[in-house]
Order: sequence, then C-alpha cells, then structure tokens
Amino acid sequence: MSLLRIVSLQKAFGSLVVTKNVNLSVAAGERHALIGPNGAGKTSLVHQIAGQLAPTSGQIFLRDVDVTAETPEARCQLGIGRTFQKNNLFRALSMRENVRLALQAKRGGWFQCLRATASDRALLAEADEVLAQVRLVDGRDRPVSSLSYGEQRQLEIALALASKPAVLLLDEPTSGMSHAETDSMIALVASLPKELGVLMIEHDMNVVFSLAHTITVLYYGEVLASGPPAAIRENDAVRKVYLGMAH
Amino acid sequence: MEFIATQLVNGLAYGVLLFLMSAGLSLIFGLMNVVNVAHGSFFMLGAFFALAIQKWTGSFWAALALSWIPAVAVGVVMERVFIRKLYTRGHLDQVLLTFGFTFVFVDLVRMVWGADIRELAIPDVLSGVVEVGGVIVPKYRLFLIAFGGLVGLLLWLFLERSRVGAMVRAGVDDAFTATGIGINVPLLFASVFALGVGLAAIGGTVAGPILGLYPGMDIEILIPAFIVVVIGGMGSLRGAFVASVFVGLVDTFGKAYFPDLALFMIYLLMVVVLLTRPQGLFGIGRA
Amino acid sequence: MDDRAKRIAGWVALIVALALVPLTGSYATSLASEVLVFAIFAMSLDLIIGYTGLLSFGHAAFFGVSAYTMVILGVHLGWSGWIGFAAGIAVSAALAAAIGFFSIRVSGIPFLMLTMAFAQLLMSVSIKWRSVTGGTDGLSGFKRPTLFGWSLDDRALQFYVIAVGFLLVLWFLRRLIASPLGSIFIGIRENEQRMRAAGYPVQRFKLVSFTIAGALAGVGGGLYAMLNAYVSSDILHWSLSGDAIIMVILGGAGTVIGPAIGAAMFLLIKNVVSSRTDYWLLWVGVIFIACVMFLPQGVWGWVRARLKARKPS
Repeated sequence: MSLLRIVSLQKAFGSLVVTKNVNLSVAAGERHALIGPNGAGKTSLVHQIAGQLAPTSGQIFLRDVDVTAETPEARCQLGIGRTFQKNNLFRALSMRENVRLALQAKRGGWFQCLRATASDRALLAEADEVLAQVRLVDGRDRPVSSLSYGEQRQLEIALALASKPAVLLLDEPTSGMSHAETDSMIALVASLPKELGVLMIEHDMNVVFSLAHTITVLYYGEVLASGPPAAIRENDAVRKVYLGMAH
Repeated sequence: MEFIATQLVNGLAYGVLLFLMSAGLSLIFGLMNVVNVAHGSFFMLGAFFALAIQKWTGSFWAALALSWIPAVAVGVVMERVFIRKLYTRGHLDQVLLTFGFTFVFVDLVRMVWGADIRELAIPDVLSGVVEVGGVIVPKYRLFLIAFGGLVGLLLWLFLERSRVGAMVRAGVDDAFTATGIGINVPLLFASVFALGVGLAAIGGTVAGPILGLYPGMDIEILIPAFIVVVIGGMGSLRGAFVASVFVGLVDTFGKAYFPDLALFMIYLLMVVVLLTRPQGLFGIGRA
Repeated sequence: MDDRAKRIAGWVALIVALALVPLTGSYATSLASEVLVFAIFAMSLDLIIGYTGLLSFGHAAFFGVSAYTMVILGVHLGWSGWIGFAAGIAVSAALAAAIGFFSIRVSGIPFLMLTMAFAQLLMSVSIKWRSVTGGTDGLSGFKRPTLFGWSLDDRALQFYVIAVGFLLVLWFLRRLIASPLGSIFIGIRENEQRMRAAGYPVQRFKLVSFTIAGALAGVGGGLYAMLNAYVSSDILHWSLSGDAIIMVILGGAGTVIGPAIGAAMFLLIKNVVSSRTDYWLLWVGVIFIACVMFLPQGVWGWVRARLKARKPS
C-alpha cells in the first residue's frame, strides 16, 4: 500500500531534538510535500530517510521492508532515490557521464575492467533518454561545472531517476531558481512517472500547491499537521506558523 | 623499582616533547583544517637555531628564550606565501606541499650545520641528578616534565580564559561564522600557525640536550607526533595531551621490555586504536 | 588523423623508442630500466591516489614484498625467477587486500598514517628476520631466470623484458580506466557521497582499487628484483613510498602515463643533480613545491590540457 512508511522517528543531538516522533507515509503515485519554516528539521528528516543520518529511534519502511539500519547505497538499491539541496554532482564529468554512472549502478557489470564504457551504446542511449526526461538535451558532453545552476538542478533529478527509484526524495528542487526555471521544474515534476512516490521539501508555496496531493507541515521537528492541500490551507495552527510567510 | 621509575621519568619527558609537537599540529588542524607535514622541520629548526644562539651567547637560557623567533619567522613566511593559497585545495595538496618543504628544510640544515650529530649543552643548574623518593633521576628530565606541564597549563589558560583563545575556539568550531562576528580570520590563522610552529621549535630546543641535533631529527619526531595526533583525535588538544603521555610511556616502556619490537610498538598501538576507534580518543569528527 | 589512428601511432612510437634504447649504451640502458621499473610502481600508485582519491604512504610494501618473494624463493629454495615473479605478484595482491581491508575503514590522515604503519611494520619484520631476508644487509645471490635459453644477466635483454612489462601494465591501466570499473574509481574520487547515493558499495570498490594497485606494484617489484638481483629492507622504507608519491604528482595524478613521466623526471633529477651536489633533496623539494603550487595537474596533465585546448570544441 504505502511505498515509504516512517514510524515514530526520533533524532536527537544531545539535548537538541531535530526530529520528534515523526510519522509519515508516501504511497505509490502520491506527491507529498514537506513544508515548514527554516530549522524545522526537514532536511534532517530526508537525510534519515536516505540513510546519511542514523535516527535515535523509530523505523523506516520501504515497501514494508525495514531499512532503518541500511547504508545509503543499500537503500538506493532497494528503491530510494534522492536529490540534494545543494547540487551534489560529479562536476568534472559530463552530463551524460553523470547519468551513465548512476544508471550503471543499477545495471551491474561493475567489475568489467577491459571493456570501454564508450562502447556500451545501449547504456549511453539510456542515459540520453533520462536526460531527455528532465529536458536536458543540449551539450551532453559538457562538464557539469559549465552548466547553469538551473540545469544542474535538473541534472540532480536525472541522477535520482537513473537509479530507477520507487520513492523519490526531492530536497528543495526549486531552490535558487528564477520564476521561469521554477515553472519548468513544476512541469518536470508533474511529468514524472505515475508509479513513483515523491516526497519533496519545498519552500515555494506556488510549487507546493500546484503539485502536492498531501502536505505535511513540520515545525521544530514535529509534525504540526498533515493532509490534503485544502485542509492544510484552513488549518489554524499552520496559519499561525506561516503568518508573515504568506506570498 | 629504580628501573620502572627511570622509565617513567623518561617516558613522561618524551611525552612532553610529543605534546609540544602534537599540540601545535592539533591546533593548526583544528582551527585551520590544515595538515602540516613540515611540523617536524620546525622542531629541527628550533633546535639548530638554539644551537646557533647558544654558540653566539654562550647561554642555554638565551637559546630557549629566543630560538623560536627565527623558526616562527620561517613559519609565518611559509604560511603567508604558500599554505594560504591551499586552504581551499584540501588536505591532499597541503600534505604534498608541506612534504616538499621537509626536503628543503632538511637539506638546508645539512648545508649549514653538516650531517654530524651536534650537542646542545645543558646549563650547570640542570645537569646532574637528583634523588626523588629514593630514586636517582636526571635533573634535566625533571625540568623537561615540569616545563611541559607549565606550557600545557599556559596553553589551556590561553585557550579557555583569554579573549584571543575564545576566538581560536570559535574559529575551530566554525571559521565562516567567526568571520561573520568580526574576527579577522586570516590574522587569526597566521597567529595560530605561528603558535603551533613556535611550540614545535621550543620542543626542538628542549629536546636538543637529550636527543642530540641532526638533520634527520625532523622525521624522527614527526611520525610519533602524527601517531599521537591520530590516536588522540585530530584537532583535539585534550587528545594530544592524553595521547602524548600515553604514547611516550608506551614507547619508553616498550623499548625497555621488548627491545626487539622497539621502533614499532607505537605503530602497533596506532593500528589498534584506529581499528577500534577510528576517530581517535577525543576526535572532533572532521575528516 | 582520427583518435584511433592517433592512439595506434602513439603506441608504435613508444614501442620503437623503447626498442632503440639499448643502442644508447650500457649506462643509459640501466637507467632506462630503473626508470621503467619505477614507472610501473608510480603508475600503480596513481590508481589509488589519482583515480580513487586515497593518499597512501605505504605503497612500497607491495613493491618490496614482491621483490622479496622472488629473491627469497630463488635464493633459499632455488625456484625459478619466473615462478618467483608470479608468486611475488600473488603475494603482493593478497597483502594489498589484507592491508586495504583494514586501512579503508578510515580516511584522510588516519588512512595515510595507517598505510605507513603497516609498511613500517613489514620493514621491521624484514630487518628482524635476518635468516630469511638478510636483514639490512639484504639478500644477494639471486640467479636471474633465463628467457628461452638467453640469460637475463645481459643488460639489453633485461631492459626488453622490463619494457614489455611496462607496456603490458600501461595497456592494462588504459583499458581499466576506460572501463566500467575504472569509471567507478573515478566517480569515487569525484564525489564519494554521490556514488553512495547512487547505490555503489564504495568501500568495496576502494578495496578493489587498492588490491589491483598492490598487484601492479608487485609487477614492478618483481622486475626490480630481476634488474638488481638483490633486495634489502630499504625497499620497504616509507621514503620509497614518498618518492613514488612525488613521481605521481610531478608527472600528473589522474593520468595513466603521467606517473611514468614523473618517474623519469624524478630519477633524472636525482642522477643529474646528485652528480653535481650533495644536496639533491633540496632541488627535489623545490621542484615538487613549485609543482604543487603552480602545476598541480603535473607535467603530463598540463600538456594534455594544452592539447585539448587546441582542439576546436
């Protein structure tokens, strides 16, 4: 039923509690937005789901399999894909090579040491397809360091998609983007495969209300409210928290 | 009993030398996130500058008081001209650069002073032995232990109690924010580097009488100093202190009881520590 | 000329140049042999430093242990040098896997110190175990193997055997870097966190890289033994590891042939400068510092970048 299920997740650094008894779920096809003021613990939560940060207590289930103790690489193999808040790409490599590397991780054939990667046309074609999916077609062989910020953000998503995830974690996909770039990103996320479950951290309410089926509001590490966009819009506690933050 | 007491004194004295080296290394790494492989060279330079000053003034005390000055001058130039450019380039390049400097310094010392072992003379008041609790102990070693303790205390007071020390600690935590609250980070960095290097130079000066002075002394102290830093936890002054004493004692007792394993007891110690506690005893968790 | 033709031309030129070396006289041939042996050593180290992004200060362990294996088996058991060669490579690969397994648990300075520690521990074993290794005096009396009846005591033939070894290692490394496995090493160097997020068991691949590098260093060590017919504990000293690092950086980390060029440069500097002054370390240091500051991509890295810049994009 639910692809991703987080149960009573708790994370404390000494006396500082960044994640307080969080329960959350994402179903197949669901677009779930995670919002909250700065410091609410959204990114820490995503780090715990992806495996970069170990929770103090609680569990994370992926397709009903307990992945709480798994390494980030194991979770990726099991079906979690993620983007990073700050672009985290292979800067010296080309766009195509970035995606090819990510695809190769799922493909296997890791230990081949005498065949040239350039000769695997099928894999390269697949990389081009993924790039097309995120609307990156030009300059495939340009190094990432020469791409614009917006293009790098798109590539982040390409890398996550290349892992063929069941659940996609998007950490502020539109951060730092202009209006036009944001609109492109909204269209991109809307066009993602329907079977995917998407959990996205977002600050831009425009993006959130255009895309989300469910919104969870995080405040000082705990879930303040969770539900469909209309319900969240009417929620008193949420309005208080966001007073002064409305567009 | 006499034997154990002697080893204890020797071990603590060696520990002092290791502390003077590793404190500087840890400070520089903790604050500036810089690895200085040439740290041993400053130990060596301090010793040889002390030799020159003693030749010139005839006084050990003058050498002790002044030898750090030219050493720090060299260090400041090195930091300003070379290391500063590599702050953003990461540890690998810093290790490589400072590694290159070790070659330069060791040959320069060889050129000026030759390759033979030289002696730094102890003043009369520190030479000879003393009886402590029925055990005969060399006065100089006691001096060394007391001196080390004093330096450790002063360093602790400086870091914990003074304003500059607070800035250093703030910078260790977060240099970026430190700049934001008005701390002149480049000046702070240069000062801490100077302090670290100065400690090494003083270490070389007080080590002179026991270890002898020779061009290879830089590496001979550097490797144990790095072992201390790694065991204690990179960036941790407390770790440097504890690990210095620990390594000093292990090395001395090890050489006494297992002369066959002599050189490599502390390597073994480091291997064991790293495999059971990779961040060291008090590591600050910065890779 | 298209890329493929250029590559083939490069190989041909290299092979021809190497074939002509023995004609330049005995001294030059010996020097060239030494350069090629250390070129292999440096290229193998580059796999760890330049391609996987780990700085090891203990690489001499694998070079030295291989040489020791070959000489010990030859001197004490009378085994043929060829069998000893194969055994040496196997031993250094196994050793690299073991040392790598433990060292890779840490990174950065602790990794540097741990790899150095393991190498130093091995050196202490070689010093203490005089009966087998000859201690600091070393082990001589090694009989070089024969090649189809020809004695490898002949300098020119020695050189050709070593040159073949060099060419094979060069070819293998080029193929490796261009392969899926090679791309994984590069990925780890570029962004280890991203590789994990993409699903790669990064630790496993670091170990694979370390082991392959150790095995290749073993090839160099075996050829060293063949060249010198002698080995002593000096071969395990960390300063040899340091020399290899200098060769890699001077020539160009992250390129396949850069370290070979670096090896040539280093040995040339050593030979030329030390014949004029006692203080050749100073010059090595100065050149190395200049390289790190101004030419971090190494000589070959710089050349390659200029060649790429000339091509219209």
